[in-house]
Amino acid sequence: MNQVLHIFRKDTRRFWLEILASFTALAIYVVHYPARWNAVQYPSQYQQLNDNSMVCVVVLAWWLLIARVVHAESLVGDQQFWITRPYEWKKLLAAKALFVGVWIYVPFVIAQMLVLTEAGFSPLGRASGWLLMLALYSGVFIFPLIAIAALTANFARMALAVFGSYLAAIACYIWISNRSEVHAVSVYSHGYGTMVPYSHFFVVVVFAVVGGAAVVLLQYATRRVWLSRALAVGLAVLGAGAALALSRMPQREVDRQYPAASSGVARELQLVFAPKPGNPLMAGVWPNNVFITFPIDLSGVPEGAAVEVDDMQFSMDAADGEHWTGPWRQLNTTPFLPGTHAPSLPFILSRKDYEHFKSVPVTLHVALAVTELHAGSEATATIANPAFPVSGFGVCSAQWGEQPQNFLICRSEFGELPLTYVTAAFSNNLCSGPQPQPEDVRTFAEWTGKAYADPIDASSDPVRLTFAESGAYDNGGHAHGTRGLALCPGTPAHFTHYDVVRRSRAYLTVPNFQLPLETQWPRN
Amino acid sequence: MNPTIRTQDLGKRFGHTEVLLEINLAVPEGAIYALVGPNGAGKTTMIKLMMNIFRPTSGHAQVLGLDTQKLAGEVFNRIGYVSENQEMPEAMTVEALLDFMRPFYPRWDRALERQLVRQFDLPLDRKLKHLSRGMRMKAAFASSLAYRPSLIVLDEPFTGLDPLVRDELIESLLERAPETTIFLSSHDLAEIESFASHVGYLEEGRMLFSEEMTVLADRFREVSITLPAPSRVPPNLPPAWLVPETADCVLRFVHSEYRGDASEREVAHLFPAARNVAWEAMPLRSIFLAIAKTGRPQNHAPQIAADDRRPKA
Repeated sequence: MNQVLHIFRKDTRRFWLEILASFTALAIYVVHYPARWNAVQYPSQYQQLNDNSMVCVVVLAWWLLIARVVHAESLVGDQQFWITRPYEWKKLLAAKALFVGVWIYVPFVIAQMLVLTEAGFSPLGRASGWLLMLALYSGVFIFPLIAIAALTANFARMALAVFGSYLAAIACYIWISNRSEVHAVSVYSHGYGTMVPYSHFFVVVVFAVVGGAAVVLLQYATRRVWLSRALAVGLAVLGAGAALALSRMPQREVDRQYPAASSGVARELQLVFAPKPGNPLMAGVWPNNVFITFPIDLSGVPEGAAVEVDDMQFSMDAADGEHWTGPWRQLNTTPFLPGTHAPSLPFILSRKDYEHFKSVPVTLHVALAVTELHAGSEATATIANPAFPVSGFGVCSAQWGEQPQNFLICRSEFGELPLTYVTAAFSNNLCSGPQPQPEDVRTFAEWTGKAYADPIDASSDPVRLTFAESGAYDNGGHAHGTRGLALCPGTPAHFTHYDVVRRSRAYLTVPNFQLPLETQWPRN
Repeated sequence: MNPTIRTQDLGKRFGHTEVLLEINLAVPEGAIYALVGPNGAGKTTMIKLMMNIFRPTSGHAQVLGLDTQKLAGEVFNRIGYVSENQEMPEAMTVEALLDFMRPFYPRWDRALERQLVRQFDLPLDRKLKHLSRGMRMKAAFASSLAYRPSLIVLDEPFTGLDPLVRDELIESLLERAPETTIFLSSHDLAEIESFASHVGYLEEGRMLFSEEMTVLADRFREVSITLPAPSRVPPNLPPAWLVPETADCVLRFVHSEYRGDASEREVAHLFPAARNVAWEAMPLRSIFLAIAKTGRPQNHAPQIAADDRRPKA
């Protein structure tokens, strides 16, 4: 008898209802998935909630399935019938692994292939994307659930353990967030608020897979519950420590990634402290920190290039020799094209430091970690309904439901789209009838994608969506609202990739700078 | 011949609580060994140590020639274990249980399985969770006897069963007896007295004695000495004389090391004026009561002899 297959068949016969529930959840997920880019309304919180709930339902179905199959031969307790039967632990473990493989992983992969096909991509996708996505699901959901099931006697205790672990993970996340002085220096996480770079986050995922496997292995081999639980807790603490360490990128890493510029665009950048009525110098307090909006003018970007300010660091020198240096902080802005721009930099310091320096003039130093970008390949695609492919980019749509829209939704398989500047001419929102005169045409112009391809860009979704929503710009480059405008079928859209040339630093020094007095934030 | 079960200074502690202390035991092949003792004496712990469900904190034990801590996998082809508290796969029908168990055992005997199903009148299509306690126990027995194990270990198998079911189970066990060593625990002396060949008495984690039933029965006598005048219990009686008491002119005690004429001469020597001395064989229950009242281990209790002399059931 093949004990592995014998136990697998028994579990399959016994838990067919749970398997069916899991399949149903996956089927709903697959059917619902295209609504992310085909829904009738702009993605509201409700829509996002719906997306997340579908993943939650699938994970809950897996949880039930894993709990049932592992607890069928429970490893906790001293009264289970099977422990005095000729089970071999390796074969029992292999049977459970086979069950999870056949009834969780295989249907999941098939479901994601269907999603890829529906999104207009090859069902095989990219091998690395598949591996990373499966590793992500394994590390975040499947392996921890199997480990917790192996360490608990029944579903109720497992539920308690899962919720306890979930609360502990949230507490840990908050703790790590509060302790991280450098908020995501953007070597890989450029742009949009990722606190821990994917590659760092992924170390924790791999740790969870390996740790979960170690706990399961130990428990099946020995059934020494407290030893296995101690290992699980120890690994969790170690994982939290690793996450903390990885979330704190030291100063030397910034120095290494963004060396002082000896040539290139960063050296040519002109940075000027430029408070003005529309972009004033202001200070506000919340709750123990003082937030100062520091207005600058940025110019000097040559034609064919763009500059992205990833991070910044403020430091101050007072006349009495007192020195203060703040941490590197991430700056969420889109890249700057040639011309003059007036961004506001968030200058944050503690209330205590603020009180110390506010009464004396200081020499203020601003260091910017910048990425120099150059325009690369270009593609022009004609906007079509319901979607149109863009060479080297992905599949885009300017339609939501049946209506043409004033934004683009682009999708890519496994991972972020490359950093791209998209322009197109707006039409009126009827896409028919009289159109604006050439001099009145307003332009859609927006950055989308990311400059850096994260070496480990794992996603829980096989299809990544990017929304590009822009103002409408007139011939003089002035921004206007997009009300009444649409990107209509037949309109050409231009996609320009921007490639990273180098990373370096730019500096601004403001002598005799006086910290502003606390002001009320302007009300909207 | 190697004993089927052997323990040496076996001990188990849970936290600060000593549950078993230095248990030495040998169960010969083919014996029907009854481990008796009051509730909480440590019988279940002892059995779980033997089945490698618990790990000992001191000493060691061997079952079928293997260290119990290595008992796993294939060796359970030769061991049948049934416990009153065993968690069975409740969602399975009796038939599904037997179907599932069968391929695990190369020596599974289909004919014997069918015989046991008939003998126990098992409803094959009923789920275990819908069976009565007696029926569940019968199903557990059937799934543990059908592969003709060399050793059957039963933890309080008859507790809570009606006499009819109990007799059916005992009958099925005795049918297996010639080819199998049986080790069972019980707190009911009457239920094991009729068929056990060996007995061990466990109290508060200590083995008070462990020996053959026939030897035990031969070793204990209730002695009544009629004295010429009313008297108190004399001091300094031999330690083997248990629970001495007097009533009027009669001194009664339990002789725990009866050796025929030698013991009678000893009594005559200590009570030369005795008018009459009566020696009576004792039932198992009375022996245990005497030992329990004395509350001390029988240091001179002999270990079980390797040559098993099974009493007729």
